[in-house]
Amino acid sequence: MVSVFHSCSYNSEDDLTDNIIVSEVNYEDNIKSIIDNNCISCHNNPPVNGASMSLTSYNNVLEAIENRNLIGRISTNDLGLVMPSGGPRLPQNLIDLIVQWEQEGLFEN
Amino acid sequence: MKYKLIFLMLFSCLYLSAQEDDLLGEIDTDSVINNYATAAFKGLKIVNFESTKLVAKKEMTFIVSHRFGSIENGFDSFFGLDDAVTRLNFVYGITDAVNISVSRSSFQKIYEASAKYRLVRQKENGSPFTIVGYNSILVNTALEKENLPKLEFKDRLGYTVQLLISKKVSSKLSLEIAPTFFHDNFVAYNEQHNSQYALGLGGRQKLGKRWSINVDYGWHLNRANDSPFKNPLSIGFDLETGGHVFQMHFSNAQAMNTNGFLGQATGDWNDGNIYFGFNLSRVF
Repeated sequence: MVSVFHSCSYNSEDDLTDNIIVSEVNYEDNIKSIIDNNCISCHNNPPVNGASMSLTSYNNVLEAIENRNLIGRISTNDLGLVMPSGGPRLPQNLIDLIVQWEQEGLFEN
Repeated sequence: MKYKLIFLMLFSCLYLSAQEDDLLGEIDTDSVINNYATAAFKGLKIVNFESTKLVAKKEMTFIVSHRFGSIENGFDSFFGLDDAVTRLNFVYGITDAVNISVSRSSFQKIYEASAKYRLVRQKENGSPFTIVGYNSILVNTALEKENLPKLEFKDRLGYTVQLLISKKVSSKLSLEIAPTFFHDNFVAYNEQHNSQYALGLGGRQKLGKRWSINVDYGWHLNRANDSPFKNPLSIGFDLETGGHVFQMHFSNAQAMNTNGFLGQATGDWNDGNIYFGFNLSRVF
């Protein structure tokens, strides 16, 4: 225990993440796990903790990206606004993956 | 026996209330007991920075702090009410000069434990300053292994080492500087060095018997270029009411732990992107 509390490390986001290279992003294989890990603790069906919509299905996520600025809310550097609420901001590689998914046309699978 | 007991209780009540009068009388005078300067700060914090005030021996203070979301979004989030973060903090006085504290903040789900200890006390014909040490260790439990595959437990830890140097300049004005070293084992911004230095500057100006205006500013000394994070500036008011100190303020930092408000403040006073907040402390 003592050694744990005396261990300094010098890591940043790049040190703890791998590059994710996906040729064509789709919801089933790439996006659903990110949403499930980070969003549905509040954006469940029904939503809890004051969340205003559910993100449990492909159509929910599609709707949030097209009409509710999902990408803006996860990529802002304003920690008072960022989702997940209360931070931390998602690692950049996951945000990039969602952006890539949107650019490629938001395929389901 | 019974009567004796009742008599004793009555007597002790009288004695206590008499004592209370004396204490109440002393609260707002600037009397110096043993020539020590008293009550440079009335709150345990100036706004975000720790003040040189400590909790008395065997006393427990509970502090609830809120920072609402940015007020710039106006009614959409009711000036930040919808995006509030909260910190619950218990501080216990082992002695008058040594305090320990534990807290949990909803900003990145941070658990924190700290020690605060007075080294030197401002005194007439003695030290011109009060000097207090502050150390804390933080555990960020919001980091997820799913997002950061190589995450280890130690990456969640952060440390603060701080010296709080205050001077009660006059009966109304107190100033503080706080040289600070803090280390986050994990930083979100890649270019930011994990070990960081800052100088805190703060002050309290009494406006009335129960009111004061408080300001503190954190000058980060090795912020990475192009970092999205800003130096925290906070302005607030202290209001004393009986056993409470109520502190209301505006700040461009939403985090409430030292590493958070120095390292991860994102608001900006220039464009109205600031947070309303308050600290409410209650002594038990």
